Amino acid sequence: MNLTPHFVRAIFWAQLRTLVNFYPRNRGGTVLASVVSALWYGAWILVSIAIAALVGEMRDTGRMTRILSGGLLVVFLYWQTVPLALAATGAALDLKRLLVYPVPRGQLFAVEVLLRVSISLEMLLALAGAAVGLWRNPMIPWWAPVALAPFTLFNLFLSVGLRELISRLMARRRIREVVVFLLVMLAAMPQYIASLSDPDDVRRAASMKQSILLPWSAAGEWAAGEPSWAAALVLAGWTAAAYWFGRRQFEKGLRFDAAAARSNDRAALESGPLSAALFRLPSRLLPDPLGAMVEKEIRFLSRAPRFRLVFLMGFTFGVVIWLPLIIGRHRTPGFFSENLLTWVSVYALLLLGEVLIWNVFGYDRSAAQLYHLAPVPFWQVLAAKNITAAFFVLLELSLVAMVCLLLRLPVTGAKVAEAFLITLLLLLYLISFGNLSSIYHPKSLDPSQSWRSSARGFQILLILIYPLAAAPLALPFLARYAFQSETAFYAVLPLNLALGVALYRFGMESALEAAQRRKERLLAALSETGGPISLNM
Amino acid sequence: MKLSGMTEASPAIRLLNLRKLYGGKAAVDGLTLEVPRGSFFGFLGPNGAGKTTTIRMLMGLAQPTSGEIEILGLRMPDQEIEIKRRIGLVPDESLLFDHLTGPEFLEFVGRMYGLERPVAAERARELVSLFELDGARKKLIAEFSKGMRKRLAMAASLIHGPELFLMDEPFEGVDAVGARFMKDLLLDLARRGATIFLTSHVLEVVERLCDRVAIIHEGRLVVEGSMDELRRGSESLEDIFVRVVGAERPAESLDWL
Repeated sequence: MNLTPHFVRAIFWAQLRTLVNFYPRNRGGTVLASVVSALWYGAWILVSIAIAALVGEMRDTGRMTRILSGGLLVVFLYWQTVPLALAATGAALDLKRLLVYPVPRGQLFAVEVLLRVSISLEMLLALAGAAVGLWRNPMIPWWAPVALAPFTLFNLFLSVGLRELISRLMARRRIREVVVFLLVMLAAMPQYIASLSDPDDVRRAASMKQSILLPWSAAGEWAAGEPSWAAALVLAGWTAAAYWFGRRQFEKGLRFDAAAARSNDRAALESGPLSAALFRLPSRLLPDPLGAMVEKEIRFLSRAPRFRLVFLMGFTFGVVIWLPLIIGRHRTPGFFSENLLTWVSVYALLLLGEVLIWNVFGYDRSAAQLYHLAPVPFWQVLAAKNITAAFFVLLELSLVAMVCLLLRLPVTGAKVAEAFLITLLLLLYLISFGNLSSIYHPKSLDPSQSWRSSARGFQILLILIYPLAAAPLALPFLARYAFQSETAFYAVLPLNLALGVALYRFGMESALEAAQRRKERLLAALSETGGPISLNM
Repeated sequence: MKLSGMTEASPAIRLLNLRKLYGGKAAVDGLTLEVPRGSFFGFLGPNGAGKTTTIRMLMGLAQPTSGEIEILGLRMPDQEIEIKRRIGLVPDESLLFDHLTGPEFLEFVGRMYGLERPVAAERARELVSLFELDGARKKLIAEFSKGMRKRLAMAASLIHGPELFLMDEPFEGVDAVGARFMKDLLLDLARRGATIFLTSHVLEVVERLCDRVAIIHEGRLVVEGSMDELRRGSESLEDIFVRVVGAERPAESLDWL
């Protein structure tokens, strides 16, 4: 790789300046983010030290080879699939903005490969731990840990290629939905294997010597000090293939014309009679301008790739992730399996939260301006956003319930009603916070970018808000458990509702006051764009 | 700023049968055009005529479906890097980075064009003064007005001393004083041999600045020539424009208005 530091330095310098200029404006968030990052990476450093100690003490070479191969397989799976499952693909060059400059494409590729490190720091720490352990181990020759270097490159190149490929697929309607479903299945596969297979079979398969043709086993053999030409060739071949794949996909990404891809999907915008009736529903039930605003929100969101993606993930991911708890070998009656639908619904709500709750102005930025210009009281704007959220959450819950019934899962009418009530109450709590966060932490987003996370800088706060908002909902479940009675469960719900209404009213009043005071800042924030590198963590 | 490499005989821009399809619909449909070196060229058309798509193809941001592009005697995309080194861009959509200050952005752009860091920083300082952005030296671009953003974009297009400028609506949102300064600067650059290719909806501006004009409509070239050739009799550029794109529409049907 021919890295010309000149361009690379300029790009990283500009990004560093962007971050330096960005963070002082939000010092509290920066401190919190730093603390959480320190805790997270601190934990990984401990894991790395533990790996170093374990590998350093191991004396059985055969066992070492098997453990290293298995460990490298885990590293590979984490590196390639976990970021995809989290819809977080790390830092990436904002190519659209850099393509106008005379930078050779090979160098942009090199920068992109370096940026892939941002999504794999945990795995680099784990590999560093393994390398240190191998160097400390007297049984292992000094050159053996070097095999981890091509394995790291293999993963970096492959992750570039996969990211580009998925970004392009995500720009195409319908294909995007299929890809998401496949990714969800892929992410859930280990859980299914563990849940549906005989544990002895799984253990036996895990302890078997893996084929030398696999990159992790080839790297494992070398790293364990059992060199062979076959392993070296396999590792070199995989690294070269990953380079070719990554480079080719990156080049394709450079040539990719998202506008052209989108224009091929025009037909999808033409709505059928069912969706037309669905769009018109709010106008029939609500007076204008509230009805008009809700209708506009529903139309807009149902056409925004980003929202369609999270909506699809809401019920597929939810159902797929929780399903093994009740169909697997280890299926036992318990809190999770008894309340499956509620869990799936709450989980779907968490996924939808990014679009429907926490940053309601970020996706439709010009509308935010219009809402400030039109003769509409601002409480109606927030109410329209909240009604839209409730509409989509109800739709999502109905779909989840339907899927569960189709799969003949043990879901009764009472459990469906319970899931709806609990989820709507949680929604009420969350939008009380969400109205405030949408005013205080607005972030401009491209609704056509389906594979980008939005809540950067705010995610840390969400870690606190979600449990806080969900805590009161433990009460009805505790009442049911304590009195062993369904009546006790439903008797507590009005208290939850009263709390929700009070919280909503308080949140709405504060949000209205803040919206007036921060109008200019809100509109300025919604017109912002980032630096040369887009951070999607 | 000194312009370089102006001796070649080939036109600044040569487009041959250029096409760009979006979902089967032609945004640019067989456009053939030559922009002579040293000309101040106005590229006009109604909304959706294909101007921005053409300029995006010239900038290398969009791939033509078919046809050929030659810029400064070099072929796109084969010699893309060399072409990019020699052109200055003022795109219509903002390619600015909001969380940099004006001088930081200019320095970044200079370095992207291969200038050494001290040189880029020095030129950035000079351009900030020239474009009267001194007062906003420490402001983030996010806090800039639309006019300031356009001025900064034009400053960025100059930093590496290009010989061809591609400008999409460069005066949009710029106040009268700023626009006058920018126009004078462009005229000066054209006098010194630079080629300027610009799109604008303000026909009076094009009429005043440009020596050659092309009008496209529905992706096709409908008129091309020097201003003297086009302005036969008493017709203004606006009259010619309305005549060739057939844009006369009565408003009487809006009887509620």
